[in-house]
Amino acid sequence: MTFEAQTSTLDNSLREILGMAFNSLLFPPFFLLVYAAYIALRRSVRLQNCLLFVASYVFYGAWDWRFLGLLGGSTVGNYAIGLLLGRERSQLRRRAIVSCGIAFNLVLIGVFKYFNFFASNLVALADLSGWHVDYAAANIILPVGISFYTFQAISYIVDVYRGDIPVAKNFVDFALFKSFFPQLVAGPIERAKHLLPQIVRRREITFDDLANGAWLILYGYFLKLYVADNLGPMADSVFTAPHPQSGAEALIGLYAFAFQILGDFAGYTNIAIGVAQLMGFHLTINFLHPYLVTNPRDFWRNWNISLSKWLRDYVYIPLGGSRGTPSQTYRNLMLTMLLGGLWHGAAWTFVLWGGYQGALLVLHRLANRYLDRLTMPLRLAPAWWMVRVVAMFHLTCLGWLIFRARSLAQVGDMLTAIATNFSFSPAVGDAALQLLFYTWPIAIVSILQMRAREPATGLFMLRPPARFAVVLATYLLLVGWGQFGTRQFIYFQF
Amino acid sequence: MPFAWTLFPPGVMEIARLVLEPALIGIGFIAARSIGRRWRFFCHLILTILAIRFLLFGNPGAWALFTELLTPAEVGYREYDVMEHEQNKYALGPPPEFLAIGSSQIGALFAPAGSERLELFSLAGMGPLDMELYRSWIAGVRPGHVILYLSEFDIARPPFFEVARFADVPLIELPSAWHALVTRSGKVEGRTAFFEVVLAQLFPEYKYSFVSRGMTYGLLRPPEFEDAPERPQAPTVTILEQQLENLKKNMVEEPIPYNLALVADFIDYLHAHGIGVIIVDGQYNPLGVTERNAELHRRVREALQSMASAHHAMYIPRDDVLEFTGADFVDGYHVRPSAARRFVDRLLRVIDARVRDVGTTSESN
Repeated sequence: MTFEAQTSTLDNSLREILGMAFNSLLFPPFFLLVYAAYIALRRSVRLQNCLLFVASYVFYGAWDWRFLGLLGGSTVGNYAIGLLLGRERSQLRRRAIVSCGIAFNLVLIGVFKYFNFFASNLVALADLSGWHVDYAAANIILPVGISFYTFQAISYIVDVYRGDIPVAKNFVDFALFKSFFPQLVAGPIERAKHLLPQIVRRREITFDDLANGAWLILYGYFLKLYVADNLGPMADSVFTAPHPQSGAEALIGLYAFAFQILGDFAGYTNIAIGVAQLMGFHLTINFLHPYLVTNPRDFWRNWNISLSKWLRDYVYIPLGGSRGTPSQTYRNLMLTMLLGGLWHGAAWTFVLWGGYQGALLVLHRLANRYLDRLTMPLRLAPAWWMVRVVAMFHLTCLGWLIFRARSLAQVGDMLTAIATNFSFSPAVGDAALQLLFYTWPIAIVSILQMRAREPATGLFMLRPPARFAVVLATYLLLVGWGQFGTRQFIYFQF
Repeated sequence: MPFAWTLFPPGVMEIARLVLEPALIGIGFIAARSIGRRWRFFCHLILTILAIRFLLFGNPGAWALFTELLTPAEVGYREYDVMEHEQNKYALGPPPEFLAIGSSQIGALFAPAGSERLELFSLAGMGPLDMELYRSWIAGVRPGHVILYLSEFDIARPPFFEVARFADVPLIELPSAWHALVTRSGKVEGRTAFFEVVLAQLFPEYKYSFVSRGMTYGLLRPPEFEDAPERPQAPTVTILEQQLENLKKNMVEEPIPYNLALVADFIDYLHAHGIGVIIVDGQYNPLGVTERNAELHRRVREALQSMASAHHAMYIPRDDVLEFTGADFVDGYHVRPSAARRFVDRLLRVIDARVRDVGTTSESN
């Protein structure tokens, strides 16, 4: 299923049901009610957890009540596996239990997310070898956020197995860890080590929590409604056209998608982190300044950080990481990124995108020492830094082209247009101005984040008048130019 | 029971707000000095937002500027009419004898008459849903009678939920907006529209975001706006053909009960505020009439007539006033000024005669 097909499937289900995305009109009253009750129950962390558990299931059930069974089943299964691991002393049996646990989660995600992909590919393979198989795709609905909460569950049982965290004995606490509504459907992917202790202990809400949470929510909505949803139609118009009119148009559409996906995903996770922080939870920061980096390694330190760390800790390092020979390290990198690509969706374009990211990381490792030596005199020059940022941004965009394209033929079409037919027209000029209008604030906040001591809250290093101006401008741009429809979040499909 | 803002002459409450709002914001800034440094930041932020809100959307000068700078092609026809409405809200004057309410069709019909007895409240595409949503503002104008020019053109078309958020719905009127949008319609779109109305009342910047968008479009000039049509001043073959085609195709039976129920609610509300209601049999270009439209016309006319008698409203059929011909229309929906003047002149005479008759009858009784 390509990016387009996944999007339209979710669009249809959204039309049929009234989901509770952060940008839906139902979410603010829902959260206000939950928050009022949460504050009222501040004397009892147990009651607060029960409330959040129920609220999380209501939140998830608003997408489709049938998904609740899957979430509940996954929760009970992983809770039981955790308990078994806690009781078992034999290393051999513990290994068997953790393998079963991982297999249980992989089967869930495999059936609900990848069944049709693998089945149709096997049928195609059989066809190629002259063995005809009749196959009709199974009608399986992709449950929202399954990749996020399944990866979170895997991290829990592996950490329990490794002895990094104690077993969660209280079912409500564990179920809340698995279903905590701010990060349930699109991350950040939380580690049990980080989130479970916050669930168990009494939570204090400080002034900084309120201020930081409010800012993250405001900036998150800004990224989603002002940046992503205004650039979405611009990107769609290029990617849904049979052929690009010109290379310049293709490039503008590609830039628009690059900022759309950043605004969309970073917007969602910022709102999630902000909402959680208003309740005294501190979630993992998921995005920093991914387009102001100079190499692919730094890109992954700034983009979907929780997924990058998950892949590093549960795939790359267990595969051997960089402990073996260089060729083994490159193999591990490639395998990890291929899996990362597949995590994004059941389509070859996503696998290819993962492969491309892996190749970039490998090439960077290979070329880094030579490049460093060659460019030593330029290292401190801001212009050289700019050149590297621009180059890396374009390499990232090439990845987004593979990620967003309907087919590989479209990738070729757009690259050919960019290379051979780069003609400007007034329409392209207008589109470029619009692109600039909707992206300049990201550049400012990214620079602030780069310069901040605590990068996630770059805003708070500013002097009060400048901070005031940034918050006010963000609010005015959001309400004045935001798209307050309910365009879906791209990452729900993953 | 009438609400406070319907007890003063038109424009008085708006003028009072014009004076009080900046004063209160100023007092707020002074009071914020006594608050701790950390919370003061939030107070200042909220007060600044309120001040910007007042400067941009809370005074007639700003609206005059926006209507001057922007065109319907840049913001949309309904949005442009909303800007004009916002500007006109501040006009002081005695309550009118008649207030004609409806879409641009009503605008074209009643504006050329220039009668001192009659005022006009028209918004592009206005239908029964908008009447219900704007009802407290309409009651605040305190007209003697409200004139509704209704036909299957208004009743047999789906409501425009997407523009509901532009309406003046005071927070106290939200239950009635819920009733009109959700309970009466039973549609998911109605529920979405209700939440948008709430959001729009809390955040006027969102409600009027078409202004900022229009300005940006004006500056950045996206290609699609270069070809956008201006509001038609003279008929063109394409517009006429398109509108006649719409008349033949777009009328549907499904929304009739919903729209009629809204009209009934609106009449009851106006009666509760001491305002009489006159329903005039609406007309559009006869070239757009099909057999199906004629049947819809018969049904709607009967329903409106029985509603008028059940809800103590006056119903005036077209044959009592003037039946338009195709030549009287500029396009599919809007009449020529000369025909409009003739119609309004006769309509006022018919209304006067009816009122006199009712008066005579009640006196003799």
